[in-house]
Amino acid sequence: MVLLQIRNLNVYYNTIISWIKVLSDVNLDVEKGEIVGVVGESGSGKSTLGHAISRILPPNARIQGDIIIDGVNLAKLKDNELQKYRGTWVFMIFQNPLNSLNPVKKVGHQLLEAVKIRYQRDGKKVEEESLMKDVIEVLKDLRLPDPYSIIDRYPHQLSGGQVQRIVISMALLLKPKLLITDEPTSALDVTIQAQVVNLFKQLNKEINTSIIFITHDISLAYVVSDRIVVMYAGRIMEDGKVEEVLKSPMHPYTQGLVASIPTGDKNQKLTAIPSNPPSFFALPTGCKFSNRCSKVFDVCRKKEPSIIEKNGRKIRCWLYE
Amino acid sequence: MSDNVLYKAVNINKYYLAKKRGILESLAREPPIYVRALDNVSVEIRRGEVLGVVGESGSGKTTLGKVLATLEKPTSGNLFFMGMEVNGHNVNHVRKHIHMVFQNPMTSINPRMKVKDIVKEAMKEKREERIKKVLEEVGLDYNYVKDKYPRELSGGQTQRVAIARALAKEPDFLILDEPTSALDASVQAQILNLLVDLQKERKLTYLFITHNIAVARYISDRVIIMYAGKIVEEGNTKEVISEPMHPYTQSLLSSVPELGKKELKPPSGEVPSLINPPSGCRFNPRCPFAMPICKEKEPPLVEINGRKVACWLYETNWKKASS
Repeated sequence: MVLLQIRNLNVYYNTIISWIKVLSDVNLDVEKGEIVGVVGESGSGKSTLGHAISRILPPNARIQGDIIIDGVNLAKLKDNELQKYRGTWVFMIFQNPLNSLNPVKKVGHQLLEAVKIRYQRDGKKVEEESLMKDVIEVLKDLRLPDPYSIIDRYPHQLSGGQVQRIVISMALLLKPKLLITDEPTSALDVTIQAQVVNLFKQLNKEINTSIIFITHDISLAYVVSDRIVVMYAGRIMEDGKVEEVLKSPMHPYTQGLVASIPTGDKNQKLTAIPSNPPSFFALPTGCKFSNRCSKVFDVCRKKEPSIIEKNGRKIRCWLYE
Repeated sequence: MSDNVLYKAVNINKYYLAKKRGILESLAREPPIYVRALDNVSVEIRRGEVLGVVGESGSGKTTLGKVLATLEKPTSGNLFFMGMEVNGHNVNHVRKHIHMVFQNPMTSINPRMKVKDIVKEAMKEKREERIKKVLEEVGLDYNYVKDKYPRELSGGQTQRVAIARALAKEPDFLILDEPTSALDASVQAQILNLLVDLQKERKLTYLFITHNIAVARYISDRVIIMYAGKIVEEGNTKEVISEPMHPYTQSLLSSVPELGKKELKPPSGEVPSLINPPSGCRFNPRCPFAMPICKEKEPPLVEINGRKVACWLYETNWKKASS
């Protein structure tokens, strides 16, 4: 069953110089219970995609197209109508979890707020004391040491991994239909990252939440996700099953990304993609990757390829037309 | 010791004061509280090798780099550079041979200087063709970058400028502190290629500090694994990564995401506080093989078949090795 349908999504930012198009023609379906990894370099529009779905783009952004979750078009809703979909429909986790918690309220209070919202929307009335039990239950589930003392602390008194787990426990309490995680582990150590990633997988299994996992680390996306979407310059370049895309990448950009992961030792040279990701103010005409691509030919520089389906994979490249 | 050793650090301790200690505290005779960033660490760096230092945040890897770069004075312990003890008299001479490259080039190079001046400042002979040569060596177009300010360049380019500045001094020993962590994957590969080429051409010695095991495996010949201010394992990179001996190295490696590996098995718990680390082995609260002795006594770092491990599990092997 399809949970999220994104159709022809364009996002523009108004800047001093001009309007720039940061997401262009994004089409994406997310099944119920599926984990979709979104990878790309910085400036590829992967975070903008997450922000657009949860409708928290900055005021200078304009959104065009449809974002449909369970029949509701989030892109067309006004801000005041959106409020009742936030949290329980779409929940977003950010790179720096401290920014998503209130620094002057105790952790327990903030988690309690989340459970209350959950019960309100289900139309149930429950005593506050039994809600606290829910909170403790979830914290125990996440293997946070000593949950009774943690709910009495302020966010700054916890370590980075603990705060990220508090935010995840908030997600567990709200049981959202779609969870968007934007680089949730980039600020964490490898061992803590692995712990958090395992929690996401557990969350996905237990309450059947769909997850959009945004990351720049391809290896991490491989571990977490079922399907992977590769973005470049605000466009989806390749979209398919994670095993297929990363074991036999079709798009030259994906090939470059996979080849630039260091393996072996220093006697084997790494095949790096030359030069840098382009700026949105000076995108090349034609295919946006054409100026860095090793397999570029004439048509690439003139016309932009459209996204086509091939062997169950979606790809945007002239090589496969 | 053989002449092969470029830099030797013996029993280095580096303690930082955790709390400001003013006159009132001294008068009240409050004991000072220390953060033990490095605890009895000894390192040997051989000429022409790349020594990787791997660890999580707070393991003391950057402090080790700073102590070796003589940017921080160790609380106790001795440094020997090319067989000569580093002290207040010769520190300036030693610094001529050592250079450090930091994680974020934007904060380590002067934002108000042009690229050519940044490189020129570090040079002995300040001739334009030499500046040009160094900048081209790191893969930058001299005419394009010479009059630019660091903010006009991308992250990868500024890191190249930082490397060019390091090379301008013609050092023997480079300390690279997470030089690629702030960069995108494709740019990271470019910088790694550059570093490997430079090391081979100029016969440099690197201390490569990183938290990324894939990068450490790629670039280093030998590797040191650090945990909570101590070295837990040391040895040939390939051996350490393919057959980790210390339980921490094992669990660290099984937490690293890799293509072709779907399951991560991290250790439970978190890195301990360095203000009062656990007694005995510092990994014991998280260790799956913890024994009673681990809580009581700290294991020494002992050499077994060319590898060094600090773990009580290998106690029987030490006896064999010594007898």
